[in-house]
Amino acid sequence: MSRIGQLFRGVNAINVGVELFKDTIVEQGARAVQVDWHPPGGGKAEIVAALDRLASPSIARRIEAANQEAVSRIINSHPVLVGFGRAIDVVPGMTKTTILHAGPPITWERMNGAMKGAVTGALVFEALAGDLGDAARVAASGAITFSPCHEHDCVGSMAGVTSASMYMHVVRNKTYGNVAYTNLSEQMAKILRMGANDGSVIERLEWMRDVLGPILQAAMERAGEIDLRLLLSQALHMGDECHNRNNAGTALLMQTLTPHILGTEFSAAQKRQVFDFVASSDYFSGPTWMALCKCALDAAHGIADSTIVTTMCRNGVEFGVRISAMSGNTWFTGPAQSVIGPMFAGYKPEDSGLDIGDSAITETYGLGGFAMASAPAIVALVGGTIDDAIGFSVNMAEITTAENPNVTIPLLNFRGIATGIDTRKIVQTGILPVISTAIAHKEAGIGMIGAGITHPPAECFEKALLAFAASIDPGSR
Amino acid sequence: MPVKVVISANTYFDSVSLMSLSTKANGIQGIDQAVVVMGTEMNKGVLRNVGLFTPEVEDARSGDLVIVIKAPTVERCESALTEIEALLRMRDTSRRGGGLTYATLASAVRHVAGANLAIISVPGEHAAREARKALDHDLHVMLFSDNMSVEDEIELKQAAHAKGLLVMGPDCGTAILGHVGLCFANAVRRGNIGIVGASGTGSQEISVRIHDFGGGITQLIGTGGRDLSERVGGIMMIDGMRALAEDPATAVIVLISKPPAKRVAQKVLAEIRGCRKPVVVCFLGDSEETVVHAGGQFARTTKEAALKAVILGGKKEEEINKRSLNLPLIEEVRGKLTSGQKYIRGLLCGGTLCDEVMFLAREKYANVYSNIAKDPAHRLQDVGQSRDHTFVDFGDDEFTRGRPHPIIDPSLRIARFLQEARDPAVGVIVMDFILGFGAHDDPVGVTLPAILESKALAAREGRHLEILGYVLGTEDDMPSLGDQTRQLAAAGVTIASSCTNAGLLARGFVEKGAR
Amino acid sequence: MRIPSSTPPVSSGGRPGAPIYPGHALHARTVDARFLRRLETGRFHGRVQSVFEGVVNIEHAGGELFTLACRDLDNGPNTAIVDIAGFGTTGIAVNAHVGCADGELRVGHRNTVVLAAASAWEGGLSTYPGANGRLRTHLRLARSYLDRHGERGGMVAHGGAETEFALEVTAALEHRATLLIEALSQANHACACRHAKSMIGLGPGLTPSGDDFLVGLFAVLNIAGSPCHGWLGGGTDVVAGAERSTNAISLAALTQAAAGRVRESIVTLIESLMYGTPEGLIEPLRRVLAIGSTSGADLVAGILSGIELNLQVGASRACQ
Repeated sequence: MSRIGQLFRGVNAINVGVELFKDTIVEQGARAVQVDWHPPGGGKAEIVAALDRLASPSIARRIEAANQEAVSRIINSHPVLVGFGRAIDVVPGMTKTTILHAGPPITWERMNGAMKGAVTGALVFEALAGDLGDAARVAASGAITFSPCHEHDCVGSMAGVTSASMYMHVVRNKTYGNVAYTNLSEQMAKILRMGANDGSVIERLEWMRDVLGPILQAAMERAGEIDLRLLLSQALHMGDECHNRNNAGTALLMQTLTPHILGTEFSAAQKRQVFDFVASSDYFSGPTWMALCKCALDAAHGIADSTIVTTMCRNGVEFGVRISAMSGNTWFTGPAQSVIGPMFAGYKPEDSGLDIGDSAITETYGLGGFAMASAPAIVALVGGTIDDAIGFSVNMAEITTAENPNVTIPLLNFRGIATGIDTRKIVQTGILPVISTAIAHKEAGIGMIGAGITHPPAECFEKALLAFAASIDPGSR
Repeated sequence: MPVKVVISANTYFDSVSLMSLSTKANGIQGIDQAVVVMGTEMNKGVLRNVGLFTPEVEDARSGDLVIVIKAPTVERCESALTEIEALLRMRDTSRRGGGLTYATLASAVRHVAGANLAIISVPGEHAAREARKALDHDLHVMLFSDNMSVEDEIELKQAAHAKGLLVMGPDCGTAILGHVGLCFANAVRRGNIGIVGASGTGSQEISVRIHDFGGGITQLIGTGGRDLSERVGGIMMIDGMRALAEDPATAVIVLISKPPAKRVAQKVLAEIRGCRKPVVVCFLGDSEETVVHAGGQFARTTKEAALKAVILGGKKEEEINKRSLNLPLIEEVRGKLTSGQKYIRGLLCGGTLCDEVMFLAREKYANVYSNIAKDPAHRLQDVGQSRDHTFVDFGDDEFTRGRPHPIIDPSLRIARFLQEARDPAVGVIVMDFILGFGAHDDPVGVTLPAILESKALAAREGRHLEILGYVLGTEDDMPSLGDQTRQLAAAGVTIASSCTNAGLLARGFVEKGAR
Repeated sequence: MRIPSSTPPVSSGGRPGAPIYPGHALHARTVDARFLRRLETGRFHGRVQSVFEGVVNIEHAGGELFTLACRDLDNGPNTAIVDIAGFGTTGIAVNAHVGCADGELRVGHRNTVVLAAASAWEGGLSTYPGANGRLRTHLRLARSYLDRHGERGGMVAHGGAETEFALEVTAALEHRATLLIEALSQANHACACRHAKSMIGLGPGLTPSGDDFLVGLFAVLNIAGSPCHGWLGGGTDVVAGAERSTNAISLAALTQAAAGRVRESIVTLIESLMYGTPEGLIEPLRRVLAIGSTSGADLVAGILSGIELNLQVGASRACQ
C-alpha cells in the first residue's frame, strides 16, 4: 500500500505548534502527541542563522566527527587518585598570595557575600591579614592575585576559595596524562566554602592543614593510586548522584583509604580525629568526584570543531561556560540564577545567594542533576519527585551526544549517564542542563540554607554558539 | 483467590474520577473485588485486614494510586487490570489532552511508534525547517503555518512527491484523514466522496454541504492556497487526486480551488481521465468548457459541487433536499429596504466563503470591492472603510497579524459589524459563523449582543436592518448547526442554508428596480 | 491563515471558555488575602504540582501548596479564583515553573494570571453564639439532610452490598471517629489525638474521607468563643508529624484547617448553622455536599460532630 494510502487508514500525529490541534485529534479518539516547540535560540535571528549554517552538511559532518572525538575522550578518561599535596606545592601557577575561586573570572569588588566571606577567611587563615576587616583591605589592595580554579587545573565547591596552604586531591588521567586538583571538604554547614569565616572555621582549616592533609598525603604514598572511575560507577549503583548525595562514594573511598591511614606514622588520636571528621558528613567525597570530572573533561577540551561543553561553573554573580573548540580560557558568561528548592527551617527564598560553585562540573560530566534517577533519596532534598528525577535524566538525553557505558544508572535499565553536552542542541531545543545544588545564604558568614534545582542562563550557550559559528566558517558573520 | 495490584506512582486524580474508576473496576465481569484508593498507611492497613495486601501495596506511598483486583484466576486478574489501566490512561489523556510532550520532532519520532503525520503550526520563518525535518523522518506534513517562501514550498513538495508523501500547505487549515478532522474541520458523515481542496473554508463548505445532502466523506486532503499557482504547479493536488483514484473506498472525487493559473489548470484537468472515477471540479469562476472537455463534472458553486458529488455517489436526486433558493423571501426583504439601502456588506471569516459570495455579487453588479480582490481596481483603498458593495475577508493578513484567526477570535469582525450596521446605505450585512474542531465554542453567541444592539438602534431610527447569517457546520459539531441557527433566527437574523445561497440571497435582496 | 510570528501575549476577545491561544492572559477575580500578600512581595517561585480541569495546584519552593481555581469554585485558603471555565485547554503541565513578576503570576511558558484587578478574600468565622437553641435545631436538620443526601462510601455508610474493602473502610472510619469524639467529650486529649491521627489517610478519594472529616472538625475547633475552642491545638496537634500519612493535596487542606482557614462554602455553612434560618440552611448544605465525591458528606459529618461536641460540652458546663 502506498504511504498516502496508509495515511488514509489512520492518523498518528506529531503536533508541532498550537496545542489546540493536538487536543482536537485526541478528542476524536485518535493518537497525537505534542512537541513543545520553541524557536531555536529564542527566535533570535542571528542564532537561527548560526544554527542553519552549522547544519549545512559539510560543516555538520566536521562537528559530528569532532564531537565524537571529544565524547570518546570523556568516556575513555580513566582518572585515578595519586596523592594529596599542598596547593603551593602541586597546583600549577600557585603563589603564596594567590587566591583561587569558583566560577569564571571575577574581581574582588564584584564578588558576592559568600565568596567575599570565604576570601577574607582564607586570607586570615594564610596569615596574609590579621582579622577579617584587615583581610577586606588586603583583598582590595591589589596585593592578592585572584584567578578561577578552572584556569589552574582545579575545581572548587561552592565559593571554591583555594589558598596556598590548603591540601589538594591530585587526580591523574591514566589515559591522557592530564592532572586535576581540588581541595578538601570541610564537612559542616558553617564552613568557608559557604562563606562562613569565624574562629571555628579558621580553626578547622588549620587542623585540616596540620593533621588531615598530611595524614591523607601519607596514606596515599602507601596506597599508590586509587581507581576513582571504578568507585564512581559503584557509588551510582548504590544510590549516589555524586554531586549532592555522596554517602556511598564517601564510604567506598574511605574503605579504600582506611588501611593506609592506619598504616601511617601519625598518632592514634589524630587518626581517630580523621575518621570522626569524615564520618561527620557524607559530603566528604564530593570534591573527589568533582576532580574526576574535571580530569576527564579537561582531556576533551581544545578539540577543533567540537561544540561539546567542557566546563560549567558559577561564582555567585556569573555563570561561566567553556566549549571544546574554543581552547584555552575563553569564557562565555551570563548572570547566575536562583536555585529553587526546599529551605532549612527559618530561611526564605529571599535569603538565598545565587547559584555558586564549580560543582556543576559533575553535571557537565553527566552526574548530579543528570543522574538524579540514581539517587531517589536526594529527590526530596531538592524538592522533586521520582518522576522528576527520571524525567531529568530522560530530558538531558535531548541535549547530549552519547551514553557513558562505564557509568550506568540501574533504575533506567542501566542506561549510561548522558555524556557530551552539545551547545547546538541546547540552543536548538531551549532545554537547559539541569543542576542540583546547595543554596548558600547571600550574606557572608552564615552558610548552607537549603538545596534545589537550577539551570544555566541560555545566554552562555548562545554566545558560545555564535563565537563557534564565526570561528568555524570565516565566511559567516 | 489470587490478588493482583497496580500502583500508579504520584498520580492525582480528582475524587469523582477515582470513584468512577472504582465503580467501573468493580463492574468488570468475573472479578470478586476491586479497590481504587490512595496508598496512605491507613488505607494500606485496611487492605491488610481484608487480605488484599501484597508487596506492591506495601511499597506504595501516600501520593500513589493503588489499584487492587481479586479474582478467581490469575488470568481474570490480569485482564481486569489491563482494562483498568486503559481506563486510567484514557482519563489521563482526556484530562491533559494527549499526555506526553517532547522537546523536538526528532525525539517524538524516536518514541512514538507508527507516527505518520506532522502537523506544523509554528511561525512561518521556522516552518520550512520543521517540515524538512518531518519529511526526513518519512512523515507526511500538514502545514498550517503560512508566510513561507514559494521556493521553500516547491522544494518541500518536490521532496515529498519523490518519497510518496503529502505536504499539505503552507496555509492549509483543513483536512480530514482516516476520519479524523485535522486543525479546522467539521464532524461530517463517512461516505464515498473524496475531496482535494486548495481552500480551507471552501473544503469545509463542500464537506458540510455533502453531509447536508445525505452523502459522506472518505478523505479530505488540503493542498494549501498556493498549490495551483504557476510556479508550484499543482504538485499536491495531482498527488491527492491520484491517491483518491487508487482508494477503493472513494467513488467520487471533488476538487475545490480559486481559479488556478491556466497552465496548471490544464495539468490538473488532464489527470481526470486517468482517475477512472467521476471528478467534480469547482474552480470558482473558471470556465465550464475546459472542465467538460477534460471529462470532468463542472460545478459553478460549492453547493452545486456538493450536490453533483452526492448524486454521482449514488444518492437518488429525488431524495435530496436541495435547499432551493427562497424567492418569496427575496421579495419580502426587498420590500423592507428603502431605495437608499443599496449595498451588500459581506463580513466573512472564511476566505473561500468570501470569494464565493463576492463572485456571485460580481455576476450582477460591477461596483464590488474587497480587501482580497485580485484586480487593483476593485481593491479597497482603505480596508477599514467600505465602498459600495464590499466584501471583507477577516482571515486575511492585515487582520491576523499578531492576532488569532477570526474563526477563533471574532472581535475585529464584531467591531466592523457595528460600524456597517449604522450606515444607512447598507442593504444587507452577510456574516458567516464557522463551527467545528478548532473553532470558537460559540461564534453566534459571542456576536449576538452586537446584533441585538444594532437591530434595536435601527428600529429606533425607523429603518430595517437586514442581516443574513450563514452557519457552516453540522448537527454533530459542537455547538451544533441547529443550536447556532436557532440563536440567530431568534435574534431576527435571516438564515442562509449554504454559502452559495447566502451569495444568491444577498445579491437578490439589494436588487432595485426590475419587478 | 496566520499565526503570530513571535508569540506575544494576546487577549482572547472571545467569550470566556473559548479555546485559548498561545500566550494568553488569565485574570484573577478574587484571591485569598494571605496568598495575595505573598504574591505582592514579588518573590514567589514554585512548580505546578497537579493539574485538574477545575484546579491547578502549585507547590511553592518552600513546600506550601497554592491553588488556582476556575470560576465555578469557591474561595479558599491559598486560593486564587481565575476567570476561566476550566484549565484543560490552557496547556499547563505538571512541573511547569511558576514565578511572579510585574503583578502577574507566570505559569509555564504560555500562561499568565493577571492580579491587578483581583480583590482580596478573607475567610473568617464569627464567634460562637451566646444562645444555642437555634444551633441545636439546625444540627438536627443538618444531620437528617446529610443522612438523606450525603454521598455514601465515606463517613456515611452504604446501605447495600459493598465490597469487603469498602465495608471495612467505612467501619474503620466510623469506629475511629466515634472513639475520637468520645475521647474529646471526656476531655482525654492525648487519646483523642491518637484516634484523630489514625483517621488521616483513611478512606476513598483524593482527599481521603478521614482527612475530610478532620477538616470539618478542625474548622469548628477554631471557632472563637466556643466551648471546644483550641482543643487539639485547633488541629495542629493532630497534623504535626503526619506529613507522610496522606498525600500533599489533602495534607494542605488539613494544615490550613488546623490554622482556622477553610474554604468559603464551609465558612458559609458554619455561619448558617450558627446564625441562619432553617430554610437558609439548605443551600449552604447542598453546596458543601457537592464537593468532590464523598468529600462533601465527610466534611459535613466532621462539622456536625464538632458542633455536637460543643453543645454537649457547653451543656455540661452549664450544669456545673
